[in-house]
Amino acid sequence: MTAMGGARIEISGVGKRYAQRRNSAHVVLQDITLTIESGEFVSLVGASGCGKTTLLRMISGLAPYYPGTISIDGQVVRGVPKRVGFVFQDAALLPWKTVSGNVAVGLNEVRGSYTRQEIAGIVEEKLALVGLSEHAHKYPRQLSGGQRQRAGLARALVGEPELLLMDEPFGALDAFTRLRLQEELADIVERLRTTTVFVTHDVEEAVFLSDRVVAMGANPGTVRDVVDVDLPRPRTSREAALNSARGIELRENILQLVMGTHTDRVAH
Amino acid sequence: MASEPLDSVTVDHARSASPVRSPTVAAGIDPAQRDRWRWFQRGLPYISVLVFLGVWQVVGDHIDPILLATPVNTAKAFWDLLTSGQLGPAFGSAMADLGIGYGLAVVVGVVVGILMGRSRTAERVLNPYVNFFQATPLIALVPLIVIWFGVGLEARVAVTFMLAIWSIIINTATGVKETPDALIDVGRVYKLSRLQLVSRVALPHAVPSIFAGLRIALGKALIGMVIAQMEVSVSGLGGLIINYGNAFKTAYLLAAVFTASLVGMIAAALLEVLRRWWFPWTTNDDRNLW
Repeated sequence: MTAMGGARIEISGVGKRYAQRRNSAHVVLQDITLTIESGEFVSLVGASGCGKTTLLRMISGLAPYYPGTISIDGQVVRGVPKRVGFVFQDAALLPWKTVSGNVAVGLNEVRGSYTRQEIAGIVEEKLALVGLSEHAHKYPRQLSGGQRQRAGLARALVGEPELLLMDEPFGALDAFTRLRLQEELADIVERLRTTTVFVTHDVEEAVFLSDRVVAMGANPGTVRDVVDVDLPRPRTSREAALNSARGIELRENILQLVMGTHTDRVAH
Repeated sequence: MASEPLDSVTVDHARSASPVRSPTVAAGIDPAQRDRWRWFQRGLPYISVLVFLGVWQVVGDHIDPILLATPVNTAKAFWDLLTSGQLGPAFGSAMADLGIGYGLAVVVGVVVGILMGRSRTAERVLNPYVNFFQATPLIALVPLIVIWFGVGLEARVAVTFMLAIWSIIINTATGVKETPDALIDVGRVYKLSRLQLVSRVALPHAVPSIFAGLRIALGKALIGMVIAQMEVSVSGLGGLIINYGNAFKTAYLLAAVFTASLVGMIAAALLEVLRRWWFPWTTNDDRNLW
């Protein structure tokens, strides 16, 4: 259980607002302060519009210009930091590359230090990790949604990142595929212990996977509370973890936090 | 083995789930009859053309051959042009004018299109001209081109180029500009340089759109090429068309026209082959992928 490599993230006093009309702005995030330890798996959970994806993009350096600072291993984030793996909402694979070609994109940063054969070997190894070996030469559109997201995960992992950022990676998948991928991700995470920030609106998913869950509120996006998920690891069975007495308690607790005291319970 | 019962279940399920199918399927028509119907459907284009040629032949036989040549006479004229050594050089010069003019338009159009797709400034600066030329009947500029380039190959290439380039620019710019933000983000996360973002993300994304533009542009280039051969320097296929037209030799005129459409079909087929060969992922036909 010792935290191996992995970045340590310090977020302090960070906010984000978008100008709307003259003299008015929509506040997406307000005064977020949060520390994510090396090797930790932290989920950002909240209703749509709470700014969880925005916060993730700010950590990744994709969304610059904000008050406050985000630093990774003591370095203030300016631009995309080194050794980051990012798993996108809809996999975001390049349609003109095969699965292995797409995974190899994740090695672009360190490409210079490998030969072509070494790259092929590394890609193959990561495809095996996510169970896509047989589909290496297919194009994205020949894959199912779940397979695409596996490829996206392999691309994020292939560069041995110190920080793994995941933006609702299973949100668009069907329920069965989602459950299976959650268990596989839990397994991979236990093995790698890379610092991971995981955005989701699914409380069960967050509890099952995380060491800590950040419950966020919307309008403006704030951190309502950070909950320690003290369920034992390794968590091989989703059922067992979530339906234990503690699991149920945590889920209830986080759900209450996320839904908050607002009256939007009858939303939609 | 284990999958067999599962398969049959799925089939049954699919059948019961959709009771309202097309009547031909549901009624269980004799398969031999259905096969014949399919072959007939597939043969329809050929049947259609044969019927058309037949009607044309019959009608043409009763009309002044200056007004309309029959298919048989057109074929004879084609053979005569071919064996007398007029058609080969005309075909070659048509291909050359088209190849050079269209080829240049592709290169310049794609480069300018990328620039306009990636740079707001370039887009704002160049958009008025693209819109102007796209809206202008460019044939009206042919006399000006003659003044600038004379009546030789350069002028014919210029006319072809001028007609073709705008669709290529517009489609390339659109395809590049519409690259999903998520794909650009992928490039940024994995540290692609600005140039690589264009060459490895935006440009490949634009390929289907560019090829759609190339098809449109090819049609326009053909028009430009023939017009130039008719109006700029009476030469090549356009030259044959206008000369035989002036001589009221309708069969020869039609033979030259059909040769021009042959040029178009060859060029279009070539474009399609290149697309499938270089960019197999743009085809929805999975046989090309596995």
